[in-house]
Amino acid sequence: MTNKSNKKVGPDKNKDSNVQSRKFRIISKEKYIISGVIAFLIFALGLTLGLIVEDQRYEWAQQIAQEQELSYLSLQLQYLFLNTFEDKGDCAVLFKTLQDTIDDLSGSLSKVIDYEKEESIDKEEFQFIARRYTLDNLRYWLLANKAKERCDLDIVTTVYFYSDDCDSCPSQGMILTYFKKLFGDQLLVFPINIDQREKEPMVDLMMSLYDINKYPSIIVEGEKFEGVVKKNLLQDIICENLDYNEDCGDGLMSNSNETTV
Amino acid sequence: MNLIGTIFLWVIYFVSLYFSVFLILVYFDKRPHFKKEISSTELDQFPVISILIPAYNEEKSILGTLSSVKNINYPKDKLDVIVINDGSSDSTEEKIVSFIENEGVADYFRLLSHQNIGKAASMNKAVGLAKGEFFACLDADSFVEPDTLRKMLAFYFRENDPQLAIVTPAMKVSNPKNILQKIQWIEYLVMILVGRITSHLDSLYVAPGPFSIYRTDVVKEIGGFDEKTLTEDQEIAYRMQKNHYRIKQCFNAYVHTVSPSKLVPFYQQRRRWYLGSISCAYQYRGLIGNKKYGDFGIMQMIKNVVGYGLALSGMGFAGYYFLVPLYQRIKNGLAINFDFLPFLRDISVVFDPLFLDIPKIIVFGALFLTSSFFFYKAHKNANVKMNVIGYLPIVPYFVFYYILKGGILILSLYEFGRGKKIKW
Repeated sequence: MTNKSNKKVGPDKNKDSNVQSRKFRIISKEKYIISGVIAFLIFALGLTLGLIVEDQRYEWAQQIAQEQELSYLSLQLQYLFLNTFEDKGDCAVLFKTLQDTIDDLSGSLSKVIDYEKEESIDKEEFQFIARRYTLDNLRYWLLANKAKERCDLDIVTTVYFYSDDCDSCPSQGMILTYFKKLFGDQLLVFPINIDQREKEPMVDLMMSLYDINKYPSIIVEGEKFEGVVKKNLLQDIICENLDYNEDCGDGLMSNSNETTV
Repeated sequence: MNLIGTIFLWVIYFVSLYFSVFLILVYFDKRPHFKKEISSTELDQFPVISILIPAYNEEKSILGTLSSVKNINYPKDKLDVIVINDGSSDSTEEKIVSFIENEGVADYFRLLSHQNIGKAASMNKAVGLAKGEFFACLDADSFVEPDTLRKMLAFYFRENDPQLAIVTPAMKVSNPKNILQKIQWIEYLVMILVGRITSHLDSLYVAPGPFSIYRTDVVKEIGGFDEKTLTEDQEIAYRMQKNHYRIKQCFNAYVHTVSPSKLVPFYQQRRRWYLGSISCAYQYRGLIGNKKYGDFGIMQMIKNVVGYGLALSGMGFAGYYFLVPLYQRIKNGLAINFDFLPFLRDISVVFDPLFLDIPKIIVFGALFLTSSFFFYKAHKNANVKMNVIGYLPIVPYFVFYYILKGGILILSLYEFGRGKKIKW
């Protein structure tokens, strides 16, 4: 390719000498358009798939909510059943159902929270669902307390108040998750996001019941602890409320070891 | 993340993807050209060539540079080598003097020595003394292959265009040893390929210090090198473009340069480059999106500006997806005294496709694919064989290098904002 050009040709000859030298300046118009289309298509593909996934998430959340509703109905009936036929009822079944539904609930709640963090999510819809979960949590908590009394279950219920803008809450959440893993069925944790109090009066009610003005706060069997409850302390608290757990034996021993050393 | 930030990020992603696709299109459009570009070492005329070697405290590498010049395959009576000692405080000058005396090159090597006045001023002084129709600059930390000069001159004669004022070489990292140097080695390979495509679009915006060959009268005409700028090799390229002179890269004329092996010198080098290029982009902002400048104005200038955004967003991305979660994890670990044993009691990790952020995955996947394309082609382009292991460095290259570059950019901007003086 040579750029030697005929200097005198064309109407441009009176313009500055730069015009001739600019001949190599071309704009690859076609390629700009094609690459624009390709880039756009890639984006469109991403966005469309994103919308489909979001739709799926919402459907999933709806379905879970329905299942939860059914489980709760069943639990309520079981409780009523036990109260009606005092000596014929089976506490083990009630406990099992309670356990399973609460596990389901905490699993699906953490998913909803993760979904909500995704930027593409329709926040309103998910806040709606999250609020529903809070209510579910509260009624299971009430039921669990009743069931514990009625069936004399060896369990500990813990209500956990947290907020999204609290720095130390994740640590407390982690400690609770840790003990949930450690004690399994014997520890029931009911997380309550206090950010929902403006929309959900039940949250307000709970907060004023226990006079919550700091978070994280936890209520273990009716007793309030403000601020992050450290791992060892929480283990002692839980163990005090349990009749038997092998980890408690170990835990208490190691604790007493620490104090003696 | 707030709305404006999100929109900003997506615009950056889109534009980055757009330009990557554009460069690939250009590549495929002229594939035969890129596959078999004519290259020759045969010359039918031998003009006088001046080679300017500015040196400031380069006692370690100056001899290698001078020997590589001595070994250039070109008639010695047509060479005019001007070595400039820019007020070095080490033994650079003695080394140059003894080299000229002992190597029998006194006929065509000259030494110009003066107090420290800076690289650009030194070169301007030497350009005034240069006898050649063309002159090459060679940083004293670089080595030139014997045939490089011939290839580049052949390129000049083949183009036969008085508007062609700079021909740049293909720069490789010399003898990479540690990881930082190896990563830079890959980066330079990619730069050669991108430079080739950019050169095809007449959009080069930098004439690298190691062995770019200039037309002497054009450099004099546009006023020589800018003595105030941080990166005179970029500034002069921008100025050439502004005056509608052409810059081309000779694709297989190799020059080897020593790259920093430690983080601090690497940081200092990049800080100078980045701040220099930002100030150049600002100085020549009139060219941004300017149709009169063809692809250079429409594509290259905009791409350069967006590049800073991309580097910054890369940093933000790393922070958001890597540093913050890492910090959180450590904090969580501390809360339970790193006793993760209970978590191992029932492991039930279920892959949940609903968790995936599909739009980001698609866009980043596409960006990754285009980059991989350049990564692969860059190796082929520079005749570097790739085996299976050859593909592995792509991961650290993309993950860490872009984060590193973003970090350096932020640090440099911060220092610049505080009004720190930066010297080359």
